[in-house]
Amino acid sequence: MAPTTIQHRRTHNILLISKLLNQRDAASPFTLILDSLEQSGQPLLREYAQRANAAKVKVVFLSFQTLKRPQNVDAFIPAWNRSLQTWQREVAEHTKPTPNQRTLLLLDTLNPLAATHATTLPTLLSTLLNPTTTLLALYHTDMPLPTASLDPYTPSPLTLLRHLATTLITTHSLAHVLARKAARDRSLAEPTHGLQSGAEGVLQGLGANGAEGVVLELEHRRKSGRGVREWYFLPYAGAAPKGAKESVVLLEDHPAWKPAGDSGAVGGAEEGPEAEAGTFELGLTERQRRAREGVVLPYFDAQKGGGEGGRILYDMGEEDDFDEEEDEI
Amino acid sequence: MASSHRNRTPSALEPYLDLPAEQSLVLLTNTLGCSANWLTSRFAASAINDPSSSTSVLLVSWMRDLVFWKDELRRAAGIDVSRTPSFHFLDLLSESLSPNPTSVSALEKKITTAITQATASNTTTKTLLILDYPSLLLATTPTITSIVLSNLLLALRSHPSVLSTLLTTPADGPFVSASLPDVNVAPTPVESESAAFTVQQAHAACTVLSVRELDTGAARDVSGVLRVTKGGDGDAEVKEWEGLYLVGRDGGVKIVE
Repeated sequence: MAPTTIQHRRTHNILLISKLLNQRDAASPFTLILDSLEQSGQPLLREYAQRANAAKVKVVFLSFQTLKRPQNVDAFIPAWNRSLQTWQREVAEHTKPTPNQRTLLLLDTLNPLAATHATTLPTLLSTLLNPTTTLLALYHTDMPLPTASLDPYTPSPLTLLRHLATTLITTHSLAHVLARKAARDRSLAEPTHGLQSGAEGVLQGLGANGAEGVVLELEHRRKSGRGVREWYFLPYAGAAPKGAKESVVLLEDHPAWKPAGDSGAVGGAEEGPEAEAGTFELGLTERQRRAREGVVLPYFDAQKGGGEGGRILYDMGEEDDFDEEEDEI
Repeated sequence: MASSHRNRTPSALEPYLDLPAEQSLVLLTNTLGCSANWLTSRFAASAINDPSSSTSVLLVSWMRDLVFWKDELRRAAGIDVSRTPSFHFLDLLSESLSPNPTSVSALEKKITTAITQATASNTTTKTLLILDYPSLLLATTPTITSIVLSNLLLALRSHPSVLSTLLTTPADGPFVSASLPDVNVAPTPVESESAAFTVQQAHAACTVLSVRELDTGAARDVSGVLRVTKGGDGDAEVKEWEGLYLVGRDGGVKIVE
């Protein structure tokens, strides 16, 4: 991969995540965060609330699971002890469109709603939206829905939500992502963690909810319909580099991601994880890349000479016999 | 009392037994072959022995009666509960198995009354609420779903007299496996309800302590493996830890190196 392309992608995608996190230009009306026990999405909710607060965006927190009012929240609605109509009315009151005031509505988990309103969930969510309100909701992917609520002939609430969302962010634990990469680099089976490991009595794996930061897998759908996929690392407040304008970095720019001694020249970076499932290496090593750049192609020479008509360009090898009368070079 | 408690609990585990932060939830999971009652009773003892002594303990058990917990607390920390006024017990074992189960609101009222009683004395202002196996209700009472039970827990946890909550649940395969979708096997209603409840509580917990059997089976010198991880509620800093432990015949616990 040419260095300029990586640079280009880095600039573009960092700008994109920065725009999404800072709620600029209403880039994404409905952001869905998919989390699991291995990496909770709560830190990301907090990051959104903090940035919204700094940007003077009103933050309304609708709680189905959270007891304590989080920081940087302007209005806190405990929906778990209210009827649907009551909290809908409260939300409508707090998100009433006012000029020059944007609102960010946070939902700490959509699972209870998905369980009770499996088929009407999209309609229910769209009633919460208005032109000045953006919606950010969390969904625990490892919480099964009650079997009674599932109709085999309708798509599951998660499918509907994925379809509806303009931005999907899946959270991963940094330690687990690095462990999987390390295994992949050695062509070993990737390790599983927590519930995935299937071990009796294990709920969470070691390394879950790490203190350093959270890995984000972003899928953003632009207005044109084109999708952007990227992996990021969001360091927590204490761990962020000082003075940087944007604390989020591409996952491949995380120091622990790059193997020691290899300065990120492996071309696989751009294709992302799905391309890594291939059985051959399509990228180039640093040495191969330098060798390739050193090759001078014939037409470059022709351009230098110019206008002399037909001419054979030939480099003499060791075994060639030079004949002064016939050969002209 | 305090010294005997210290002797019976390894120092490596003591930081995890401190009173949890206000309004937080600690989730303690165990398996059929590996009981966590020794940890539950140590949490209770830690609150009883709390130097500020303004905290009482309310143990609500759906699984065991008072006789059992009396013995556990004596073995774990040398505490005689009949002489400990700050220990309160609510037995819901017989209730959850009666043919006419109580409604959720009646249940909430009963526990709320017990919380009020546990903080009635002048010296105690807050109580550590220990809920032992409320997930039994998911199997015994058809009207109680994981959402109803989670909301009941939220209501209890937000009671002004409750300092923080310790919840014990089983985490054997059948109780949590429904969280991994399997195209070949559809989970039964009780499996998906149990998994939904357990996983949601782990998302809401600040700390998750799980005990499980050794992968290689039972051993004479190891009772099980304890894993401490950070739950989904990210406010508190939790140092993760995993190690083997042995519960002795006398109730003392040792860390096996």
